[in-house]
Amino acid sequence: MLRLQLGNILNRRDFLRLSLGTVFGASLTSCTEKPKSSQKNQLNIYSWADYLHPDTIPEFERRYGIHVVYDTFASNEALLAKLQAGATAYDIIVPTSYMIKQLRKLNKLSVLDHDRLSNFKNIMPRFVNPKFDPHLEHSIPYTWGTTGIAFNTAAVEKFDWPTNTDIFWNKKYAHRMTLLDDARETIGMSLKKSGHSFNTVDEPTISQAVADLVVQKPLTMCYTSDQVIVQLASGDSWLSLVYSGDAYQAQRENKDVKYVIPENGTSIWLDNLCIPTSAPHVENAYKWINFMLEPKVAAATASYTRYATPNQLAFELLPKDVTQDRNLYPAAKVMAQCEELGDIGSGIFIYDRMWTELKCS
Amino acid sequence: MAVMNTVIKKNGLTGTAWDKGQLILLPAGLWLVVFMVLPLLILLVYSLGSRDDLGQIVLGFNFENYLRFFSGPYLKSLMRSLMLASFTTAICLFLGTLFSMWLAFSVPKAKQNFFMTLMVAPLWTSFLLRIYAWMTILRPTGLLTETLHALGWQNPPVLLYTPWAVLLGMVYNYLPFMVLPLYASLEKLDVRLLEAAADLGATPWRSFLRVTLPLSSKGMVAGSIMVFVPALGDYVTPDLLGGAKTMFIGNLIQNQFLTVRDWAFGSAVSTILIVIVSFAIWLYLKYVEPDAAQAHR
Repeated sequence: MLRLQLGNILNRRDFLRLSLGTVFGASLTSCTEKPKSSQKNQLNIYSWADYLHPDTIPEFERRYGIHVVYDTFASNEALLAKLQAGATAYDIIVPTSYMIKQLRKLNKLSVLDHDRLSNFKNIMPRFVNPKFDPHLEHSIPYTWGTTGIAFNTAAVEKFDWPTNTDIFWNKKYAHRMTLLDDARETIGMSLKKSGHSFNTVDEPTISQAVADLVVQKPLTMCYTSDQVIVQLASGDSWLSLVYSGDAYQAQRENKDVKYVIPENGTSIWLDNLCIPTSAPHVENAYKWINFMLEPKVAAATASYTRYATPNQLAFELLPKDVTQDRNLYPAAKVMAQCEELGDIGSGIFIYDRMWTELKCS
Repeated sequence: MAVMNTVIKKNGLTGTAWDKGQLILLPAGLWLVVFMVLPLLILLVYSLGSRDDLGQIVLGFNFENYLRFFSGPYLKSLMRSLMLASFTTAICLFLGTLFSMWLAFSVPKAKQNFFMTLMVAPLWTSFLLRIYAWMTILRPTGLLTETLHALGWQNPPVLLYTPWAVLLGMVYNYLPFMVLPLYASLEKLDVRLLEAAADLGATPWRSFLRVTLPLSSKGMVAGSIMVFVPALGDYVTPDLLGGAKTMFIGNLIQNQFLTVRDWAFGSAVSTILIVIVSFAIWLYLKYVEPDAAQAHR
């Protein structure tokens, strides 16, 4: 009798409707992991993937007896979205400079006590007073790099070897090119190609840049930021818009990959170590920052990730062929043409709308 | 019933059998309220708000987000999603019907479970893993292209990052959801009816149209909804197999929450999607199971 009743309560139709709801809900949610913050001697890092020498964390753990949990994000926007959604367990985050101002306005970054960082003096003088964070009150520069073109020297004909981003409009390499899945970087590339600023908020100018990308779209294999290393290394992609370090990481696996900075300039960015205001292990966070500022550790980071170091003593430890690589440490003349991605406030709405239009075209 | 009530009372439990039924429902009901009803209400409230310059939600009462959706390029992504979900459903329905009919009518009963398990087996591994496996096969330097090349095709087409790859991935992923209810309804079909139809001179096609189809239509509709609804909101498959080149409604929503941080607009788009899905289910209840619609009125 009881069974009969249950049958009435939950008949097939209801079950179907319930499971529909579940399937539908599941398709819209993404899994998020939270590190456990209960353990006392722990350090929770939220950073980019492949952004450390593999030996760095084990050495830190050995020396200080602190357990490190390393969690990754794929974009600054994802980092911000997660912090805004209430993630409080992180002790170290690694935002790009254009995100620092926003994080500060949201009161997410604690003020750093430089006296607790004995290696602070190792930072190159030109990095100690940036516009986005005067006197490094909230951030410590970690690595910097450029966004440029990686190409396969075996697949791209020699007279086509790119010097600027016009190559992405060359039909000969259709379906073997990738652009970044990032509105600011990819629209910015198109803006820069026509001689405009990466940080413009002028709608007709952006609209024209996106119209150029719409023309280019059929030639693109895909828009991706996190699979590009594999695609370059395997030879799937012959021409990619990439972050400098990613190109060099692909080169390590495939000797044919070469990286160039477009001659008409490109975007330049700087990632920083910060301590969120909600950090549960502040003491350990300071230890980590100071550890990362050690010349040997910073040099290991720079030589493994192939991103440029803002650490003077680490720079001096790096081999000559790295520090003299003009595509890693561009000449002053090229640097003068490059631009930092800036905080454009509500201008991001224009980029978002245009990016959606591009994807819908 | 009366006997049961006395039994319960004798054992020290009070209340009628119905009360007990409610009690059994309580955990599930609570679960639904906390994780389904409340979030939906929050979604609705957020969708009427707006975003400030820092990406924080500002509550309000205006329909701007909805107007924005219907006036911008966003409508296109909805149309695209509806088309993709429809194609996926149609192909799954076709393949699923063939498979289920074969399984129910041509395979000995003892072996049916084995094939059904094979059908469901891919679901035991992670959804992402299966997509990545397809990527490895369809890549420009992947298994398929290399094989075709080795067989002498000079410039074999590359499927990855085309709409065809997205469709393939969708059909592959959702086919089991079509087969399960379809097989369930076909399995109960009395094969003697088909034999009778054949005896009375019906061609196989005619007996399919007049016997199999009407008797399995409920399974077909149930399967179609099971495929259509998740296919409509899927954003991972288009992102990975389509190369993020086209924005579907699921991508639009994900983008609003995880990149642009415009929770208000994202909530509005989600609400619109939920309304569309609810409409589909309402249609199902009204036309396919009218008794159910009556009972729930």
